[in-house]
Amino acid sequence: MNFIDKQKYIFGSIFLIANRLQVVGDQYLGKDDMTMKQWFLNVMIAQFGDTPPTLSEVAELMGSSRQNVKQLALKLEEKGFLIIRKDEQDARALRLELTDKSKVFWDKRQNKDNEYIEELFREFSPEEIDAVCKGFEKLFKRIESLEKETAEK
Amino acid sequence: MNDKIDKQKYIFSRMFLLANKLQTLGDRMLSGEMTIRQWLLTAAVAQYGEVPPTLGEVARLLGNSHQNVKQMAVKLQEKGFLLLVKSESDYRETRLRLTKKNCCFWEKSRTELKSFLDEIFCDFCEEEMDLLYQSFNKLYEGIKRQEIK
Repeated sequence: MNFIDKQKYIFGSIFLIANRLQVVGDQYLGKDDMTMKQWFLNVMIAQFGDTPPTLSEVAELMGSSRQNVKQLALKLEEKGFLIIRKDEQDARALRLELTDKSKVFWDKRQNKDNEYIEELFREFSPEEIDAVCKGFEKLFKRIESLEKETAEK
Repeated sequence: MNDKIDKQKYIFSRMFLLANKLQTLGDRMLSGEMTIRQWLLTAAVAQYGEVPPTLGEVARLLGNSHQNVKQMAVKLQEKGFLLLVKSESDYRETRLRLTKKNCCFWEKSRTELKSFLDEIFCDFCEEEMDLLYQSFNKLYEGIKRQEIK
């Protein structure tokens, strides 16, 4: 396989792997009435730490539309996992705040979920894990700078 | 990030994030005739070579639902890039066949696609690409293990 074929393979695989992880993940989480998309939103909100992020911030980080993220957030709110709150300073901005119920739900299943992920990466050496982490970090930075460039055009 | 499990979780969640972001970026950077998702579908069909694959086979390869792939295939048929044909051996089966127009499109966009991929991977050396390639293959194996369960 030459260099350009490898680029194509890696590029295409990111989509394929994400799709397939979503399918197997949905089967796994479905037993507890959870979906991968809802899990992903949860992880993205948690990235912001103690300050609940706005809907727009989360959408930007996720690379999804505001509309999509709002729909997901509403589902999690129905389940009591999240509160959608108007910002105190800016009434148009909505902030997404994870509830204690959400934290308890994910904490309780942490060991089980870790085992699930360990199983996915069973064949990986520590060096390979590091290489993928570094590669993804690099790719992410590159995408961010390309996003800025294309937005300016 | 020191623990192995934290790194694995990072890779796991970044996969979704990168797919989202690459889709938006790709749709913006490649000239409009095909979206990234449609592009992936035709690339998946092309993998089967001379024998047109069934909808189900392509759906499994892509990790998309049957319904989802059918919708995309219908759109591509409207644009003239592929045909949905009934299988000769089993009339309930639909097979996907790429058209000449699709081949011409790929010939034409080869350079554009190459420079797009070069832009994205410009910071990577050959060794890093090899490592990613190997690791992705292992991850496919891991996913297969979970799919069987």
